[in-house]
Amino acid sequence: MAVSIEVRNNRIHVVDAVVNNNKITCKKAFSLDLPDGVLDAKGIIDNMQFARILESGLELHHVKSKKVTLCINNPSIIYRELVVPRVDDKKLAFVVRSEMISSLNLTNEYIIDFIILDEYIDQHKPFYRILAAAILDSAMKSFVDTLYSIKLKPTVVETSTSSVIKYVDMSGVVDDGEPVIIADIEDGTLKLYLFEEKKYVLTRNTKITDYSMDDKKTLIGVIEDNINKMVQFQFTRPSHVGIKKIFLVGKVDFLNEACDSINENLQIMTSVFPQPSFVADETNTPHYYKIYAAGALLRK
Amino acid sequence: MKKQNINLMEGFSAIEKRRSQKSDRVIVFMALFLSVFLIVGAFSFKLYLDNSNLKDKIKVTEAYVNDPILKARIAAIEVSQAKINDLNQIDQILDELNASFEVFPRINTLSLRVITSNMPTGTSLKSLAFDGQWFTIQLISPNYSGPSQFAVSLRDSEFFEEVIYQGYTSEVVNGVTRYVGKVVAILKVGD
Repeated sequence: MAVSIEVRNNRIHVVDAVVNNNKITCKKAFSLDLPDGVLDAKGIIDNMQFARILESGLELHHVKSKKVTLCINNPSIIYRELVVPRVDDKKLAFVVRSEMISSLNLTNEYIIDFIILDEYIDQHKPFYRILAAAILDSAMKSFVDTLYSIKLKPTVVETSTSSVIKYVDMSGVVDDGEPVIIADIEDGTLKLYLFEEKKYVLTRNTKITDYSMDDKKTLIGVIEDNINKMVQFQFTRPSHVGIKKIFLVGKVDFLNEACDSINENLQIMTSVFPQPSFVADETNTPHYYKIYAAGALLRK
Repeated sequence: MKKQNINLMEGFSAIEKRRSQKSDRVIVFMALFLSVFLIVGAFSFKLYLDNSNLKDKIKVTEAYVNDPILKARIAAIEVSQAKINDLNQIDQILDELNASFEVFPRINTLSLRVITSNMPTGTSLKSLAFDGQWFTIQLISPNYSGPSQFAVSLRDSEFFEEVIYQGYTSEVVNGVTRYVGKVVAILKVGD
């Protein structure tokens, strides 16, 4: 059994699952709301409260596993897409770190890791397209120390974008190579992930007003506008091929309404993210708000 | 193989390990510093205790020394000691006097016998005086060599420390010339 914990701005998603050869069987899943002021971009501020909320949630749902995969899905992670010359694997980490520090003006107090998105040749020289992520050492320490304080042992700390990339890649929804948008609506934030030719292209985050019943339509309108901007952007890309599918995820109760509205207004096939074949869900909860936690459990 | 996983925990663990090693070094330095501090502290404490003990002893000694009864006794002892010193000086002087008396030349019959026995034939003793040290002998001789013979004879006897012949004078008594010689002699010390 493995526990995956996705930490968002105001919510924690916990998935207790069995992972076998990247086949995930979700046994337990639940969400815990975090009050304002518990965490921010510098990590966990009120670690006592965070620990208390998480510990009581784990106890309530009888989660026994102590090894944790943590997926950080909040602004404490800084992302940057880099293009670097193809170098030896041992030197690549150093090159990426140097590039990140240089391009984002970071200090040495940042922990940096990366994934290789793509490899291509430009003017007879090989290059890597890289997605690098950085987190302040103190922010990371706040997460790790808080988990240790409730006897949880984090073994993997993933980022939200890399989790989504793995999850989408394995789910097969981009296998036809057509441009696809994955829209995550939660926490008053709209995250749009663009994929094309089976590859991750970019992410765009937008703050949206917190959802309330009264202005649901307005909110869906805002979401549509932002998705439409991404659709327009896709047309400017070298392929000039428009978005063919949009998949929505996130823990909101208007996801289906949003799908219908986007379908109707943008004339693009829109649906909630389909449950992939590698995920077996025994929790009777929607799978589409677990994609980060489940994605973090995947190791390639 | 293409890197396709992000795990920030690896980087964090590496930093934590370095931090831990640094922390270990700090602990070692702290322990070393603490040990030195404790040793110096213990030594200082011992010195403090010794100092306190010595101060206590000094106080006791001062109290003893400044005790009025003791001071009075010491004063009395000092007076007695001065008297003893005076007595010792007197004793020493007496001893010296006694010693002087022991060696002081004394007139006796032997010395008179030596004088008379060395007088040449025909000479007679005109006068004999003794001032505590020196004999002054005047003798009358019918000839002028008598006094000098007496002086030589007296010197040869080695009874005296020194014999000085002071010459002679002549005089005529009842138409007869006689010679009055003068010899001074000093007795040997301790005889």
